[in-house]
Amino acid sequence: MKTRTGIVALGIALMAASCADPQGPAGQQPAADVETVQLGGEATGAGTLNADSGEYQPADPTKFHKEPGYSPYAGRKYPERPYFGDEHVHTAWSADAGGSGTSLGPEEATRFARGDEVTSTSGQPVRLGTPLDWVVISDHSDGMGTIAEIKAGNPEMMADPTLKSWHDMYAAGPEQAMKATMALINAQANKKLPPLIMDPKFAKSVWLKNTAIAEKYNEPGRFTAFIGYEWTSNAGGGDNLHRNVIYRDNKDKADQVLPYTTFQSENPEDLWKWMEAWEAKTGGKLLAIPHNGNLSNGRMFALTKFDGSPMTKERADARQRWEPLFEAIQMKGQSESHPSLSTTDEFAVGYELWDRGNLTLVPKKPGDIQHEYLREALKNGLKVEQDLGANPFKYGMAGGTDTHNGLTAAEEDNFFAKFPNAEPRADRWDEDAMKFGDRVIKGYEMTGAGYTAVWATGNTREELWDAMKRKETYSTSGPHITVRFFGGYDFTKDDVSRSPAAIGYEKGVPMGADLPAAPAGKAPTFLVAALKDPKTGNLDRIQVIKGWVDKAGKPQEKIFDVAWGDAQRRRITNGKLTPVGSTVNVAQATWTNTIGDPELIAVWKDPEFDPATRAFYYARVLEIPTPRWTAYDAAYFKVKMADNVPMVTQERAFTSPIWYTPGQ
Amino acid sequence: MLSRLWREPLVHFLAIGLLLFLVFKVVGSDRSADDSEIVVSEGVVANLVQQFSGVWQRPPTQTELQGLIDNWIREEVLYREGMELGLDRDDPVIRRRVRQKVDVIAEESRPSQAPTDVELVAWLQKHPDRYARPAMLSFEQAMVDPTRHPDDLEKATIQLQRRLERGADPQDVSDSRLLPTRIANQPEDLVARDFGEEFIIALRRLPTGAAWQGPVRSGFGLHFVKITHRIPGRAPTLEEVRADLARDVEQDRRERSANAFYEEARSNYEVRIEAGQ
Repeated sequence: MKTRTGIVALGIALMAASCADPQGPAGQQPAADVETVQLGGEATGAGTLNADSGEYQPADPTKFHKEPGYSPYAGRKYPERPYFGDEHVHTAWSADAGGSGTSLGPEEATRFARGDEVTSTSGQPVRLGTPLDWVVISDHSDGMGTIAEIKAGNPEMMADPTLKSWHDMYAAGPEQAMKATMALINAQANKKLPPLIMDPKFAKSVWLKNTAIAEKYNEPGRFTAFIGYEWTSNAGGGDNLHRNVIYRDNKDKADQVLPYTTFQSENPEDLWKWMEAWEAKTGGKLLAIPHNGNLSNGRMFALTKFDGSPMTKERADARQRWEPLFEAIQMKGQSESHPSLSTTDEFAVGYELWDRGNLTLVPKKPGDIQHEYLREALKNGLKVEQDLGANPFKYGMAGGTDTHNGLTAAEEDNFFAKFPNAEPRADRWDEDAMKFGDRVIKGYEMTGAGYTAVWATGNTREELWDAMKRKETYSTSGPHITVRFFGGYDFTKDDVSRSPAAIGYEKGVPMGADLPAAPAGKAPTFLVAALKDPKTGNLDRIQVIKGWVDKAGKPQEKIFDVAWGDAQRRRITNGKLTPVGSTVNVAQATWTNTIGDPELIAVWKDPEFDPATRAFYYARVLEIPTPRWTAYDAAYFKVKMADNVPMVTQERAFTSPIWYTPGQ
Repeated sequence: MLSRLWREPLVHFLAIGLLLFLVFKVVGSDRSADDSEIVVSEGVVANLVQQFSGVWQRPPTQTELQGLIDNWIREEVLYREGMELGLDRDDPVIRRRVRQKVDVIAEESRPSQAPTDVELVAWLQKHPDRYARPAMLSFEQAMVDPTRHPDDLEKATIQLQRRLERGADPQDVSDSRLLPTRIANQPEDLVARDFGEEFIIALRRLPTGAAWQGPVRSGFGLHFVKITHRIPGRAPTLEEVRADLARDVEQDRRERSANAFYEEARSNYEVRIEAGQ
């Protein structure tokens, strides 16, 4: 009887495994029943971040370009350009990616991101239209390969005669090395491996290999290869609580400690404790970027702690301290806004929604959706701050691909999708991207997105990381749109005739920052400007999205159109701006830039400002309609897709918010 | 009713469980004594402690260690049960994982001596384009945005040219507030990212000097350009690209090594294709 129960249980486990999400690392275990133990003390909150380390002094945007001088170009200290990158790339070294057949490792993925041509897993040559400025290869790290240690002649290993002989063979040239490898594999097959080789301290070598690759391709000033990894928590069977951990520092610090894994815990609060312990040990700096709130079944932005107990100030502080950014768009849909929450947002309707379940497509319960999308979380964060004195959801914006084939290819006309089986092929639109029983996400629903733009003073790990930490970032659905967004109390219409950066830093704060206290009788003003990607569509409009919590404690939002293309023919009537129109020829997957503008700029003043109410403001920039990747597929492969397949998209960028707090 | 029941996932689970039970009964009946013993050796515990310490920088507490051991036992039991049933066979995830491990081992069996200068130079000569130093450009530009001049584009273009020729600051007369008007010593490929390929191709045909030239078309509009300085692209010296060359030669070795390993291993097998041709 006992055996039989065991076997039935095993059958269930097998079924579960066979429909396990391709995202989750193979062999992932529920957390061990260990008591969570406090490590390195409680998080102390963002306010004391710099107190513990003298060497780390991030750039302070409020000090950018404040000192007047004759030359407008001398002494510029502010970020002059956005650096585009992907903070979310998996390669063959992630068990799930490797398991799906991906052949490209971190080295190939990094080369691709910086603009080299590579051959995809499915054998197709591919190259980015516009190379990226930086990348984070965010593989899950685990142990394999100890050969490096044998070859290096690790003294402990050399005490074992077998290992010593292999070491000598490796040193004796290619032919002998091959024999050593064969001998090793043979020993492994016959369970005759020297026990020392399985010692986990040598498993560390994969992480070391990983960091070595980032180091080799990191070229300060030209291309930044960050050290990072993904901590992949699928709590409760597929509730997506994944985080990418990004290192500010180099290999010397990263190598001191193994990455945290969900084998230890699925609770993000434990990840933050680990990050704190890491910083204490190494003196380095880490940040984490969560993603796919849309697949978390109400858990990403839950108003409770992980275990369901009430939110505390400490918990809210810790989250804000460790997680400055949220990945609002990627290949598994966007988590920026949902039409059921943002009922007046015409551009949230039908835009890249993966809202039918969690990562294993377990359907959502009513109310889940309120805790999955960033815009709603930003509002709820204001409420929590009002009640507890800390805002757990003070997030800036990031974007990534979450590709698992090593190709950060988010361009609509160059979309290589997430897994090798979805690389360009005539049928990919109609196949199942994910399938759990009768619950399916179709191939055409895959999203060709996204990247993170970072306003940094230069292209180095330190400068980019510091800009991420201060949230001077925005997400894009793919195009390299340039967006400036500043808030202050003194921007006037005349300011649109000057360089937005010079005037913006002089009179205000950039995206991701807090407005200073409101002078009596003044309302916040915003300087916002956007420039199209030279390769993609013109700009339709810029909007400012304002969120707040009303007197009754209800989250509110309002969207303002503040600048738009073809201004001579478009008007706001009944609160709605005339649509920009469309030039898309779906059959040929073409469009023309005969509508919209290449650049938009405006100063906008909040007409409904209440100095007693907490609020946030962020900018959203929309391109004119252009062909979606499905249209490029249909044209290239000459296939007829079903009528419900979206063939046209409006690419977009959303900036980190600027917050207003009464009496701050 | 029965057909609805048959669609229930739970019924599937139970059916498969039953099936596995039957298989187990047949296959797993003569298990040796050795296989039914699980030993939590010093080594196992040491490994668990080491793994934990690697992440947390401290040894586990007694409670934590008990949890780790319990979990290890549980995993070992289920792992063995699964192996007994042959669940590892024909599992695509396990197949690829194992293949990946072998790939890594094969890659690492390459010679690990640093590449010699002779090798580096040979590699450089084989792939000169990859290491070519890009042209460096210094220029000023101002542009007309055609969408702002639907009816008088020609007039606006001529006007911009005149203003620039009279010495106007490009920042003041350009229709764009965001595109940089002065670019100092930037590699051509990075300029191409900001201004687009077509703009760079046009710039290559323009001479260096004090004159405003154009208009040149880009994805943004029509530009007048003054190329103040240009350092032509060139072949690198060995010193400039030594690190890149070493990195790429290493990568090439890894690939070759993996392929050679495969060829060697492959020669031990005879592959017979029975499927219809």
